[in-house]
Amino acid sequence: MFSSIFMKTLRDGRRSNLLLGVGLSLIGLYVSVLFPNVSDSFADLIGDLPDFLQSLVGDAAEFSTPEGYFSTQPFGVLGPVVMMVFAINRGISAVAGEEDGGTLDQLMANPVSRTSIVLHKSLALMVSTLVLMVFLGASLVAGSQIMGFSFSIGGMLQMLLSLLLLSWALGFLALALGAATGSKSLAMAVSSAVAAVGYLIHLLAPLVDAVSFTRYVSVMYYYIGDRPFIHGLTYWHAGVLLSIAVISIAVALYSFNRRDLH
Amino acid sequence: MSATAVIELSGLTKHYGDVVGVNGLSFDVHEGEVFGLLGPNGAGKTTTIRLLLDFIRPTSGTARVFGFDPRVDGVEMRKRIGYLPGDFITYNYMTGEDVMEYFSNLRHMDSVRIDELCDRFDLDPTRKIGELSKGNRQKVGLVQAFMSEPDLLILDEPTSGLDPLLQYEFQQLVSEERARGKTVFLSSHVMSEVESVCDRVCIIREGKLVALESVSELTALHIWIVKVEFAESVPDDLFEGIKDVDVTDRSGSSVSLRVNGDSAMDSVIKSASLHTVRGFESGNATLEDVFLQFYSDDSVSD
Repeated sequence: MFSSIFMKTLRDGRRSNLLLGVGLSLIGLYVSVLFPNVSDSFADLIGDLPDFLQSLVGDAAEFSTPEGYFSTQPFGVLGPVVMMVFAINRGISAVAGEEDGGTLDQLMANPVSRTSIVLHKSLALMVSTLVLMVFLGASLVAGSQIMGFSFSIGGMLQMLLSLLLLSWALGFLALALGAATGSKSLAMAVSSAVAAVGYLIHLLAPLVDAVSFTRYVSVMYYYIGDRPFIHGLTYWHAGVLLSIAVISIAVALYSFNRRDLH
Repeated sequence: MSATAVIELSGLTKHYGDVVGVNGLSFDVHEGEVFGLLGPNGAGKTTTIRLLLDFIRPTSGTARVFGFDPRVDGVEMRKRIGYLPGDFITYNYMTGEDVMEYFSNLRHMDSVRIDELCDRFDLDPTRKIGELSKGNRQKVGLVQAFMSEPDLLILDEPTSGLDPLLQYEFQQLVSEERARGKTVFLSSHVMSEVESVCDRVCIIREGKLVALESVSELTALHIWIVKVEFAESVPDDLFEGIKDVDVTDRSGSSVSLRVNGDSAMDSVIKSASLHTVRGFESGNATLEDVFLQFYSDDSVSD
């Protein structure tokens, strides 16, 4: 259980990790159980909604296929919000959390390098988010089996991969800000702002032509802008999210290795 | 004494913006000695220790531990170091034994002394850190610092929060470590602690080295604490102006003095003899008195 920083970090988060996994599974099950009903009757209803509300719940046409339907729920709203919040929290607690709590000194008194602390904690963040993706994917498959419909597993896997990359981008951004500054509040403020602004632009950009170009600064655009569940991953979109994650880790390593601990 | 230096500081300087943490510290700590870093709060003791462990980086100057540059070979260096701060903080949700297991694993070694040390300090390792009193938490810190039998112990005000019995037990433990050839670097503002466990002591103030002496030499400095009882009140200026003599207390017809050196003692006796003396006590200064001497007299520092 305490064989390495990686194992200990996973263990520390195991309860919230499992609880959230179960929560996401229930959402997944609930959403898939509703699909047959929704596809039959809700499509008409949503077609009558104003544009703005449509963008919140998704395009009416999307409700006719499981791929389109799942793109709006759970992957359109709840999934990314839950995953971004989870990943940001994990990212902040990785370095800034230990420093703020005063436990980093004693950890660093052991023969461990700052690089290994960042890498172990990064790996734990990757695994814990991956676990949540497994829960979510399994629940969608299980739900569709129960209700007797089928969908593209390949599409779902690409959607899940995109969501995983989104959470890594935000999680590692938070980790890097915390590792560079040692400040939990700064890491929280900046990474939450990136997530929130990204989400807002994602909602508004399609509605207002004048600001549609701003979608490129939204992480949500790279996550779901091209509907990976339906069309597969757009590689450069996935690349942008992955780059944010990789650059963040590089910044974390560089800055954490160079500064004084608080 | 062995000439092998375990710790070598050379012009070690750390500024925090405009604030000076330590300023040009240079001294060596030899293998097998117990070395005390003595100074009031804010003197730079913790800054020095954090520089040694590579928690912070020097503004200028160098530190070497076992010949390693902490910045470059921190991992190799810390394999051989046990560290205990004055306020041991670790994961509140973990039990003492979990913390010890975790740190043992990070050290890649069997910590052979855990049971022995827990027994000795009467520590229940199955309780969560967050449920422990300050003193018991400090015991966990003590066990994790000593458990891997490190070659060098770096202890920052280690006995704060321990009751006197445990402080004594701690001093025994430090003496045993020295007997086993280990090196101990400890900071303290508790004079009696330094006096009873340290071989050499470095006094620092405002980040600068004030004095570096062996404890036996410090206590053997000819500093006396003198109390003279006169038959009647004596003029206030009696003993004033005598070199190396401080009047520390004056009440009624008795005067207390701190006398530094043989010739000063002679002057004191001659001045006193001008009046009727009822009693005369003199004792060798404790380290605490010597320490106060350093602190009260600016001329000593530079």
